[in-house]
Amino acid sequence: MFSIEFEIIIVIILSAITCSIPGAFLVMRKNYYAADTTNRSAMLGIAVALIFSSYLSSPLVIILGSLTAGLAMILIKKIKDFTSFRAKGLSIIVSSAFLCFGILIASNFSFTNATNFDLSIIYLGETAFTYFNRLRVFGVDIGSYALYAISLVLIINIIIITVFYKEFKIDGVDKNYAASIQMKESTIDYLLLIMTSLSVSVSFQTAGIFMTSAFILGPAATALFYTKRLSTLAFVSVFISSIACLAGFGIAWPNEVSISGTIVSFLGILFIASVLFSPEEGLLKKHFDNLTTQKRLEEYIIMDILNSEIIDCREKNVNEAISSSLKWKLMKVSYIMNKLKAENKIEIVQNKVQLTEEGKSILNKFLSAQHCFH
Amino acid sequence: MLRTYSSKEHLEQLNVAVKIENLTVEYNGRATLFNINLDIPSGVLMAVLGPNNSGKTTLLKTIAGIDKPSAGNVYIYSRPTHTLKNDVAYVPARNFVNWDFPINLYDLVLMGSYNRLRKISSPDRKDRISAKEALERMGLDTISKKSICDLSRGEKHRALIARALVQDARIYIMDEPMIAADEESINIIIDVLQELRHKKKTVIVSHYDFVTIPRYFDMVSLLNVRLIASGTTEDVLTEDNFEKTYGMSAGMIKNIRLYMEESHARNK
Repeated sequence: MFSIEFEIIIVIILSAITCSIPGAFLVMRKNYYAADTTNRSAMLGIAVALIFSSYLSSPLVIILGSLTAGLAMILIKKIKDFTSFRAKGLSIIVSSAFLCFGILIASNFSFTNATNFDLSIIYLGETAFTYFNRLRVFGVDIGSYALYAISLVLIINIIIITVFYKEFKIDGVDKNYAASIQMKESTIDYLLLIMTSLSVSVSFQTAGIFMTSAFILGPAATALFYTKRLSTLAFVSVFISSIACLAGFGIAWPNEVSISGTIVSFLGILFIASVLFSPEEGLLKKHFDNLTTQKRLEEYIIMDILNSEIIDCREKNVNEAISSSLKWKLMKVSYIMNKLKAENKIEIVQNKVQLTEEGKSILNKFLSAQHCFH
Repeated sequence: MLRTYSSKEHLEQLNVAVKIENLTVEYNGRATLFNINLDIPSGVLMAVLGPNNSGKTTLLKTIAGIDKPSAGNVYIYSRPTHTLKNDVAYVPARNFVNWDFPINLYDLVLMGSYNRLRKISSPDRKDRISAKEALERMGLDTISKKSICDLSRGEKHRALIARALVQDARIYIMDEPMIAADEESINIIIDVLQELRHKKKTVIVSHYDFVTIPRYFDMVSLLNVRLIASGTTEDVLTEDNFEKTYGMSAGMIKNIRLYMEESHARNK
């Protein structure tokens, strides 16, 4: 129907977008571990499904994968309610157990049936293989099976978000308020669980166990550096997913390396670049902001000294006096004094250094803004 | 001065807004509230006072229908609390809210209208006007586009109360709405409490500062897992009741509070 490259890139983009939608809500709810737990636990269902169906895009794989992922999350919630274990610790234990059972079953199946089934596809994903499982209607090839399976899950995700948008928003901000207007917290938990486990199971062939978490969390976590609006965040996540997929595919396909691996590496680079260089939240911006604030504070400290103490230029060197009283380097004090003079905040009147009217007004404004509880 | 219902006789004449019967709430086998019986009259400002872990938040959350009783009943205007959706506006303590969620202040306040909306529908013009009025009333209209993670402590308290105002409920329940807030925020919150009482709303507030209670509230309930006393501030705020609630006298608590305030000012 389409060229192999085009169909593969569409499958990858749809898969990344499908994962990034529940991912945006998991990130906003600070429920990061859920993504990892879901995809590790889905391994058990996928392994069982492979006994009956030998290809990864089959409906049975998606259904059983989603079921075991959901089962693991419910199990964690129930154990947490009745014990003092923390959800994070429990999720590691439970999902590891599900993952190990899944690996045992899958490797045993692969060995006993001598099917030469490559287990590394489950672990790392292999998008190119999605092209070979075709969907035929009345004998007509209408595209790869994965394309339709992923599109269906994407539509389910979009419908759930549209219908329950308000509920997701309230639940994400304030669970107590949600409960006080008789909104059931468990409804939102289960909806998010359905979305995440379906997305994970359907994306297995594209990204594999180890990389689906990055597909889910990566775009939303990166998007948070660029927007603080919920509606925009979902769109930015989708945009970041698409960019990473296009770039990853563009690099991986001609070089014959793992497509999903390259995409996830690209997502990682985007995330780290955002951590460092995001214009609002980036570390560099915060570092320069801190430096600016610190410098301004140093100016206020000197202005406060000059405001409360009259220093006669004839008796002593003003810069040296301030330097010794604050235990700051003379060069630093001289620099700040010159700056204050240039900005007309200080002046020398009859050999005495003092604040100008403008300087006094700026200092008073600063002092009155200092609240202990603000 | 906020108080108007100063005597027991006045309170008895009022309808009961909240009726609590033999209420016990437990977490992991430990009773956080034990066998509470309490009637809260309609249209009063009531403070709930008690030491840490005395069950103040649990009591408020149970009245709001958030926590479920292990035993006993809570009725709001004679109806079980968990059946009500629009009659109670709950203002949680500031630290129970996810302030990192990516929405702005206006969106947060507009959420107060969500309890009236059906699925898929969005707030209408009336809801938007009501949100803008609430923001204005709480002195937050100039920063309505600010992201909620950038608000100061006092602004956060005021934002949550603004959301409750949009709910337009009959009963307002507020968990420590003034703790660690700046003076401007405290003054605005006190004014709003007064307005709500003038509108005949019932307001239940967990409060930390017993010194200001007689000035602001009609009624006070002292709590320490069990209900120690409840009634007018004159009847309840006695040395004997303080000893039962805190294990020490009011004078001692006042001295400790003054000492802490002074040492805090010194450290600043």
